[in-house]
Amino acid sequence: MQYKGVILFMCGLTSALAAGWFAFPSMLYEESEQPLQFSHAVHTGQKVGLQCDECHAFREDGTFTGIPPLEKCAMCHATQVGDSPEEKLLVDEYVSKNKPIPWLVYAKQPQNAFFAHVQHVKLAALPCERCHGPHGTSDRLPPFEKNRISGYSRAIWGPNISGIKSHEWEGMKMDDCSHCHKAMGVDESCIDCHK
Amino acid sequence: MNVSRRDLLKLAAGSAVGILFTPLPWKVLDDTAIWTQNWPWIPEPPKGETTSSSTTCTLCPAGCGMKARCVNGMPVSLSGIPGHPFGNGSLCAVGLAAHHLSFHPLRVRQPLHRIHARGGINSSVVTNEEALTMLLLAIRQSTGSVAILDRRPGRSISLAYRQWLGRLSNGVYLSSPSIECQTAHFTALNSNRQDSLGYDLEHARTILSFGTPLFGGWGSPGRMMKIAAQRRSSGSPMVIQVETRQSRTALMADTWIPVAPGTEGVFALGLAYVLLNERLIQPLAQDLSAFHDLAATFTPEKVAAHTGVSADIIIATARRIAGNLPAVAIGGGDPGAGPWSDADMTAVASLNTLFGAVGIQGGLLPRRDIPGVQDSGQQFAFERTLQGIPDHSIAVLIMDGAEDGCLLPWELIEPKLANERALVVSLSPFLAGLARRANLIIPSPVPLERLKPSSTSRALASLGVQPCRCAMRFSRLPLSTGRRILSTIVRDCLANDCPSRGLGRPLHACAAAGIWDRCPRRFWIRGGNHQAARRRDLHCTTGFHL
Repeated sequence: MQYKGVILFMCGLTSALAAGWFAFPSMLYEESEQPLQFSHAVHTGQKVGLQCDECHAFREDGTFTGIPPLEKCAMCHATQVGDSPEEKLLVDEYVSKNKPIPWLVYAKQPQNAFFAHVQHVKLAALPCERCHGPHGTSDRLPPFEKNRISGYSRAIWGPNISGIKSHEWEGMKMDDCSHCHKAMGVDESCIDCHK
Repeated sequence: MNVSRRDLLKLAAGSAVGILFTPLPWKVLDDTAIWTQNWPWIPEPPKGETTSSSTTCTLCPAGCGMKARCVNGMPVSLSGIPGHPFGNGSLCAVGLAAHHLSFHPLRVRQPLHRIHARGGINSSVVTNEEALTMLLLAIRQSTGSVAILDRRPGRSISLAYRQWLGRLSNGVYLSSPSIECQTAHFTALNSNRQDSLGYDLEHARTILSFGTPLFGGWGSPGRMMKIAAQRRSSGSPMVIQVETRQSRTALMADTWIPVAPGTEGVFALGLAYVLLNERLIQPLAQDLSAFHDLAATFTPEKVAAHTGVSADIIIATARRIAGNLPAVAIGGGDPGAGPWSDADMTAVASLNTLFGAVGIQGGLLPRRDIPGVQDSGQQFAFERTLQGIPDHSIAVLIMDGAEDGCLLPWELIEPKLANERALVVSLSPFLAGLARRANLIIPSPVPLERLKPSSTSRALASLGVQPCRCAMRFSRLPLSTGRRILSTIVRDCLANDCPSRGLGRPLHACAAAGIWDRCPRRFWIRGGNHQAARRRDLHCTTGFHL
C-alpha cells in the first residue's frame, strides 16, 4: 500500500490532536457543585440593591474580608426568606446550626501568593469586574472545576484550555497580573506578591 | 495488512507531532509545577478569616515592631511596622520567620530527663509529674543555692522569679550580661544613677564602638539601617570602630582602628588619659580623682605597646572625638564571642562619663521602665551576675529559655554548680544551646506562642519610648509547661507553708484564670485535604502533653 505510512502518521496526528484538545480537558478537571446555590444577581439587583463591598468588605486596617462569614448572611437570613429550596437549605443546614458554608472558592490562590485587594480596589480604583468578570451579576454559581493535578480552580487558568483569553478578566495566573501591571505601567517585583 | 515496526514508528511520530500542537504538554508542565507547591508535608494554614495584628517581636531584646498576617488566628507571615521606633519597618531574617519556630525540628515537646554520663547522654522522656517531683525534691533537699538564670531580665516573669526567690532563704536571682545594655548599665553605675539608660544614637555626632557589630546585627536592624542611611546623607554620626578585625561595621565606619585582641579596655583608658591630660573633657560634677589616678598610668606610649596602635593615632582619635561631641562609647564586642570582663566594660563606660554623654541628647538618656517592674528590692531577690556568686554554690539551677542575643558559655556556669549532682533545669522551647547541658528540660513556648509575652527588656538599647506589650494570643497553644510547673511549685509551697509563698500576682492571676488548664485541640492543618486533616487533628494532640 503506497500511502500506508502517511495514513498512519495522520492517524497518530489526528488522534493526538483529539486527545489533547477534547479528551484532556475533560479528564483534567473535576466538576463539583457548590454546597449552596447563590444568586449574585438577586443581591446586587434592584430588588435588594447591595454593592459588592457591602458583603465583601474591607476592614479598618485595609485587609479584605473575602467571602463573608455566616453571620453576615444571617443578618438577613436568620429566618427563611421566601420558600426556595436553597433558602431552606441555607437556614436549616447552616444558619440555624451556625455551621460555616464550605464554599468552593474560584479565585483561591496558593499560599505563597499574596494579593492585596485594598491596593487594587482603593488605590488603583479597579472595578471588581476587572478580575472577577460578571460574577457579581450571575444568577447561578457555576460548577467548581478543580484541576486534578494542581488542585486549583479552572478560573485561575481561564475557561479556554489553550490559555487564549477572550476577555481581559479571564485567568488569574501570575502572567495575567504581570500583563496588567505592564499595561498600567506599574512596577512590580517578586516580593510584592511572594512575601 | 502487515504492521511493521516502521509503521508503528510513523504512528508514534504522528502522535508526537500532534500532541505538540495541543495544550496538553504545556498545561501538564504548568500544573505539575503548581502541584509541587501542594505536597502534603508543606504546612498549610487552615481556611479561615484573614486578619492582621500588630505586636512586638520578643525574639531578642531589640523589640522591633511586628505585624502579623493571621489566618484563623494563626500567623502566616510577619513584617515590620513602618515608622515603629524600634525596627522602623524592618525585621531581621529570624524575625521574619519567627512564626516557623513552632515547627523547628529541635522543638522540645515533652519534659526530658538527660543524664550526662561518660559514654554519652542518656535521654528519656518523663511526664510532667515526674519532672515536677524531681524539681521539688531537689529544691527541698538542696544544700546550696536555688538559682534562676534569667537571660532577659525586666520581663513580668522576671518579677515573678525575683519575688519567689526573695522568699526562699537560699534563692539567687542571676542575670546574664547582655551585650547591648552592658555599656549603658556600667555607665549608669559610674554615674551613680538608679535608672536604666539607652543610647540616643540618632542625635549623637560620634559613635565610638569597641568591636560592637553596629551594622552587623546589633540592636534592631531597622533602626541601625536608618542610622546608616542618615550617615550617608548627612555624614553624621561619625563612627569610629575599634576592632581586631575588619568586620562589616569596620568597613562601613569612618575610621577603623585595628587593636590587638583583648586590648579594647586598655585602648579606652589610653583615650581617657589623653582626654584628661589635655583637658579636652567638659567640667564634670563628679569627682574623677580615682579614675584620673588609674588613667594616669595609661600613657599613649604604654597603650601603643599593648594595643599595637601608634600613640599618635590614640592622641588624634581622642582629640577628634572631643571636637565632635556629643559622643557615645559602646563596648561589648561581638555577642557571639561572649561577655566582656567588668574591667574592660568599666573602662569603656568611663569614656561616656568623660564625654559628658550621660543625660544629654545625643548621649545616653534614661529609659522609661515598665510600670511595676521597679521595686524597692526588699521583697525581691537582688539581681546578681554569675561572676558575683561563689563557685560551687548552686544546688539547683533553673535556666530561663529567653535569649538575649549574647552567647553565655557553659564554662562560665559550670564552676558555679555545687557538684556533679546539682540539678540543672532548662525552660527551653528547643533542645539547643544551654538546654543541651541541662539534666531536666521543660518545654516552653516560642515567643509568638506566649499568651502574654512580656514587654521588651531593659536591655533594649533605645530611648524612653514605652515598649508596647504584646498581650496577644497568636496560637491556641497553652502557656508553657514550664510556667505550669512553676505554678504547681507555688501551690505546693503554699500547701506546705513554704517560705516561698507568693510567687507573684501574675502567676496567681494566670492560675486563677485557668489558663494553664487549657489544652490545645487543633493546631495546624497540613496537606491539601483540609476537612480530613481537620478531623484527624481534632483527635490528636499537638505534641504538648499537658
